[in-house]
Amino acid sequence: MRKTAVLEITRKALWDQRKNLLGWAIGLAGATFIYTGVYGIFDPTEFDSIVESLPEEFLEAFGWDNFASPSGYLGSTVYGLVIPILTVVFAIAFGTRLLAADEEAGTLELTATCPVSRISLVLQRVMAVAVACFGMATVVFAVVALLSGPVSLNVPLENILAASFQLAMLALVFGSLAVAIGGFIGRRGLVIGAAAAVAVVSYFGSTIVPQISGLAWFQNFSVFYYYGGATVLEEGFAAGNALILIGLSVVFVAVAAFGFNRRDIGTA
Amino acid sequence: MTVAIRTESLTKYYGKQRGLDGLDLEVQPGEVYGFLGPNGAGKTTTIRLLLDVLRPTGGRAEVLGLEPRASGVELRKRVGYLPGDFVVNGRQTSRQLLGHLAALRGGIDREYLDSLIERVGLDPTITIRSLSKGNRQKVGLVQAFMHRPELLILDEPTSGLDPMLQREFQAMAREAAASGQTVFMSSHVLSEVQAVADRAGIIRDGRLVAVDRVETLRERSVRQVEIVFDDPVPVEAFAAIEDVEHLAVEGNTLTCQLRGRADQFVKTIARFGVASLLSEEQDLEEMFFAYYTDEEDRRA
Repeated sequence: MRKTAVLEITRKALWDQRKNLLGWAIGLAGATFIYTGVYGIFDPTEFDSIVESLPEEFLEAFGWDNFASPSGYLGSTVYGLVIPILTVVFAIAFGTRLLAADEEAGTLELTATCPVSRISLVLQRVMAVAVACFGMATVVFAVVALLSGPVSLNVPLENILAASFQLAMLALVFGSLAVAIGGFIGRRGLVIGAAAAVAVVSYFGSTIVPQISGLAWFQNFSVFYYYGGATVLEEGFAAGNALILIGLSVVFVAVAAFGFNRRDIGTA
Repeated sequence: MTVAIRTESLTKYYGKQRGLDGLDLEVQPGEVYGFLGPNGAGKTTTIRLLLDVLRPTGGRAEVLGLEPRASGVELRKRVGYLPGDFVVNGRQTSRQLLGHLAALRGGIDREYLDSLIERVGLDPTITIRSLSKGNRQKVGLVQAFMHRPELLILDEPTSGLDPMLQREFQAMAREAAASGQTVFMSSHVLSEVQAVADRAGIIRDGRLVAVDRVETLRERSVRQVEIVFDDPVPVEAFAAIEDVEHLAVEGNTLTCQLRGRADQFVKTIARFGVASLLSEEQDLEEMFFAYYTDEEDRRA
């Protein structure tokens, strides 16, 4: 019996999206380059005077409480706010594109009528999302690692690597969440909206909400809390947090496969 | 030999909306079967159920002896499918798309693929979005035929094709049947099916109302005829012809409905000078209605 080419659906998804992926990679590289490069230009003491003028809750909420140290700076900027959010936005958009948007456009039907099971189809698409998420995190890592010498960041390379891994996993959690919702609803707008809502709640759940007295526990439900890029830069790889992110992705992938395997395609 | 397609009270509801309402269908291996019905009758729903794109509300289906839900992968391996609405990512060439689909099928005979591409006259190096609708349909036909499947399930295969290509398609379908493949094609135009199918099933409001040999259907089909003669003609000359209904003559112009064989009618009009002749197939919906009431009458 002739065998289907291994991961052909993954290969095709990445190939079809190559321009989109390249665009995001360049964007992320550019943003990372600017943020990291700026560190070499500014005098840390100037930062301190700005930072001191801001209210403490505000600083903590955005992780700017430790701006002057290299790892603190990196954790507040590249691995703190802009890049994680951009990467999550990318992952949600990509995860939606590979299932819900494909279905809504009517183009999923032809793939689904090839000799491939529903579960294999979902898994191969998630694999494409995972490759893309790790690709983006690798780009961020490469830029930071290349610049860390010239701008004298003095952050251990393995910590940068660990934070980049967390970044990839953060993205994969939201990418597989988008695929999971797409496993039930074949509508692009609904999937993006639902996944984005979870991301927003999760983000504020690790930043602003815990500042409210009595609500600190809320961060335990925030994906961003387990991402903890700033902490990883300071203290190194946190296996427990990484496992939680991996576990969440696995659950979302299983949910996606379960939902997609049991319903009609193209009628939602 | 297992039947190519069999459904028993196959039913599909989309919420409360009827898609298919107890369809019993049987397609024999090696035949070309026309699945006829007006738009919205449930043709596409049936086809999607056969391929496990949709899940039935009730009843069961069997394709090449396999149950769609349980053996979807094996079933789809042996089937070539042309969707009624063939939409693919337009930012790729046909060659890239066909290569992808071939890889999903574990590789195919490249020479045969090239011969198909040449046969339908497709330039495989052009991106799909810059192809006309007809040319896109060619891509759809090629991908359905390219792995020489045991069963071809084609949803409105000739839509968008010019007459010459329609003929080429008919030849392809007949050759497929001659080599033992089964062709199951849907259409809402009787003449399309007439040209190629052995048998046809007529579906209406989600149910199969009739199955017959295509010749029988043709004999029963009604055509709207309009003839302009060189000179005024007497109405009596045509009144006696069998199978002519709603006859009206006004000056040089004759209109009528012709049912079944045209022989006697043609021989009669040949006695006069015919300036022009227009023969239109009756609307399918009307034809089904005529067919259906006929059946009822016969039973009564």
